[in-house]
Amino acid sequence: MKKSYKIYSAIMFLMLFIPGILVLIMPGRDFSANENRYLDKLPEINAQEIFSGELQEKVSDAFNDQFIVRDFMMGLSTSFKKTIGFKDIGGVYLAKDKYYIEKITDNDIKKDQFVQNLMHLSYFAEKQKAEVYTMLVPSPGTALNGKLPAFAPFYNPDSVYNTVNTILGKQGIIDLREVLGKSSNKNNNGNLYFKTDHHWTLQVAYAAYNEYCKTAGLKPQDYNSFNPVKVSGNFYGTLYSKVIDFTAEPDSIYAIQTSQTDNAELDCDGKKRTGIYDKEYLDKKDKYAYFFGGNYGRVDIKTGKNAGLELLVLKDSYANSFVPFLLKDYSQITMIDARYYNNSIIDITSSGNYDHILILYEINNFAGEKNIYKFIK
Amino acid sequence: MVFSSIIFLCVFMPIVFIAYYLCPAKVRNLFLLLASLFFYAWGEPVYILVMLFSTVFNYFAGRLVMMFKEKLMPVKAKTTFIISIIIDTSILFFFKYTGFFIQIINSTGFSQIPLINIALPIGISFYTFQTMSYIADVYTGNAKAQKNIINFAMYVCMFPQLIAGPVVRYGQIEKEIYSRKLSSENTALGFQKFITGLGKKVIFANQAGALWEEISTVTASGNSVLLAWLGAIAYTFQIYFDFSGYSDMAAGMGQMLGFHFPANFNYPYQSKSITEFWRRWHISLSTWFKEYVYIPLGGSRKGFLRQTLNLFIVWTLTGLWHGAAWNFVIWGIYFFIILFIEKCFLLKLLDKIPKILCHLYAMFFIICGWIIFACEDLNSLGSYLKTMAGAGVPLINNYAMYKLYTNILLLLIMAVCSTKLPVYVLGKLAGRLKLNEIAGFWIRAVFTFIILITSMALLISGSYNPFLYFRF
Repeated sequence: MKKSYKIYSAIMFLMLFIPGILVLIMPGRDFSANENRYLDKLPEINAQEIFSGELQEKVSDAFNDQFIVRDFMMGLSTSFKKTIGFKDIGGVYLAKDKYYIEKITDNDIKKDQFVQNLMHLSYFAEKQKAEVYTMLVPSPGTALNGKLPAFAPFYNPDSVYNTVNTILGKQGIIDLREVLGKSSNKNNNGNLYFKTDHHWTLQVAYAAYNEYCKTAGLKPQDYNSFNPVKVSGNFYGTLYSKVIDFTAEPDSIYAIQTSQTDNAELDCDGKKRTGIYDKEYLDKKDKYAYFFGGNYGRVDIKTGKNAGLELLVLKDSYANSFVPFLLKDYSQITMIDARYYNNSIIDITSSGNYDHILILYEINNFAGEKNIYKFIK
Repeated sequence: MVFSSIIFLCVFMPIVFIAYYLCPAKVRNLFLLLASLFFYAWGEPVYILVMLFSTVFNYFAGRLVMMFKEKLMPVKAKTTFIISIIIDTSILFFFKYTGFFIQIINSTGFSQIPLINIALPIGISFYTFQTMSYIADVYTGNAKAQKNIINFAMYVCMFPQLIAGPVVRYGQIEKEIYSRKLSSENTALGFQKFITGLGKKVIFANQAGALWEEISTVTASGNSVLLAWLGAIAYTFQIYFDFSGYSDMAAGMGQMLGFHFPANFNYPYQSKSITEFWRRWHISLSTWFKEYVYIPLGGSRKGFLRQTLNLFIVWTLTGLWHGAAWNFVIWGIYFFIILFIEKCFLLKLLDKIPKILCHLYAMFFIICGWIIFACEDLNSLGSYLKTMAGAGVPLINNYAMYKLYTNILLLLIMAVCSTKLPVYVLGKLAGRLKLNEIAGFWIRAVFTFIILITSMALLISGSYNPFLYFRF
């Protein structure tokens, strides 16, 4: 019996102590691609921080972040929570068919910010000579409502879209709810959004392109004529990073291949490039950044197509997989992401020569966006 | 430092325990004192001075009281005793109740004293109660004054029970301060107890706490009776598993160090009355109040009226001990009223009705009590109780159904584990299978292994991990 006691205690002490020692002696990890965030590292010793207790907190945080088998432990934690019956982890629903869907409740929609943003947008649109189109894409949880766990709370999209219509009027609004509803019925796999990421898929970006063409008076082309190809079959997106689940299935990323996608001349915040895709990202965690190399404040695209029209897109990252479809319809496209752009946007429109202006955001992103005021700055 | 953290589990605990076992017996107390000071200073690098002052002060006060007693000078002994109790209470009052007190004065409207912001040193309520029990024990002759300041400081500052109890009275471990037996059995069984406590805290209390945290912030428009009750039940489990988990961790580490701490919880949610509940909940604190407040005030020996007054005093103080706010006072008086009614006639009545009704009766008032405890703001307390009663909200809503079906398994497991049932069934099963001692030990060992890994996974993933004792 004594021997059992001794063996047990030794095992337990080693189990605790070995990871502790390893954290202390191993070089720290800076970034977790899996979780898509920077990790806390052991801090430098600093007397002032010791007395305020800050240093101790930093050390405690670092021990969590630098734990040797951290990724495995994260997965284990998720497995435990799933076993016990939890259906949302870290603000993400564990939805049916291995979908992860961001949990957005009525309380998460910040009404004041939303209305203010719409007012800014409305003011901006009034000042334009160009045609202004607004496409506020439904949240994944709205379009994939049937995949949410039973009784799972989600915000009411009708009241949100009613607010949009009340403030902007119906002019130039491209409402995708019906189209997405049809696509999700037609194809029961949904395939509207990535399973592990908060973005939409190429197929549904194409459906949105179709609607856009109808509204803007352009002639849509057949999906296959764009030559869509699978560029990655191993994409674990942002929602996966929030959950870290052993049983997650990777997504595939499709992208279109046309002479414009390969030959367009780009100026991304001063960096010049040919071709809209950045292959480097296919080897990294954030594979969605394959489209345009991620988000820039301003991207000017000379499409190489002499279509005679110019387009300005005010957008979030949803536009990155959508804009490729439009390369053949415009000679020049400018994309502005207000989060990273600090000059006046209304100046661009008065000095530029744009025929069309497209506002493209996922609607919850738009509602909470703090930079829409830059439209009219 | 908190027990439920990776740095405590993977660095502090192994280093301190292994070094402690390697220490010669003579310097173990000193080593334990230094380790405890490091442990405390990690979270309170400045306020450790308060604890050190309190320690040194009570050490000398104890010796003075002892000296006067030995020299047969009872008046001086009594004066020293009273002065030191006043100083101990003043320190506690200053750090814990100044803000509350100023608020009360200001609310009378006679004056407007500016509020000063005094942070509450962690564990001050626990160590102050320990030092006061020491002085009282020395004065009444239940214990001898400790002559060695290292031994005394070790008793006051010992890290296992320093921040969340149990309140270990000096007399209870006096002998073990001088000599205690280390054995592989105590280490192994203490380890298992520690991990059971860790699991209670991290696996149960934290998950229940996350549920309560979410529900307690739901506004009236999204609320329902079912949701409010789910929240209340979640909090009921959170506070039990958090507190008893901490006590188990303390007792487990105490055992590993060779001490035997008093039991602090005895399946309180199994109670059939509130009287019984308070015999099973936070036993070390109730005992303290009984021994050092209730009995010295005369207890039940001075007539019914006086006894009622004594009970009222004890329960108001018990409420205030838990935090400096009105809801804690209300919480204490709430239990005074129920206990008073039970004493008068209800206990006899409860004896005659089916047991299941007694359990329901007790749980109902326990759960309502925890809501008073949880809502520091009296307005939110009022609206929460109204929601539970169904005023202006539907019986059931979607959100409640979602929370119910995603948490029902957790709640059921916690309900079973808060009773003696698992221990009883497993014991029977082991008897049936005729398991020998070694096999039984290793089965428990595997179980603790799983609990440890799961707890560490939850801690590392940054799941909700609150510290509830900052106001104690």
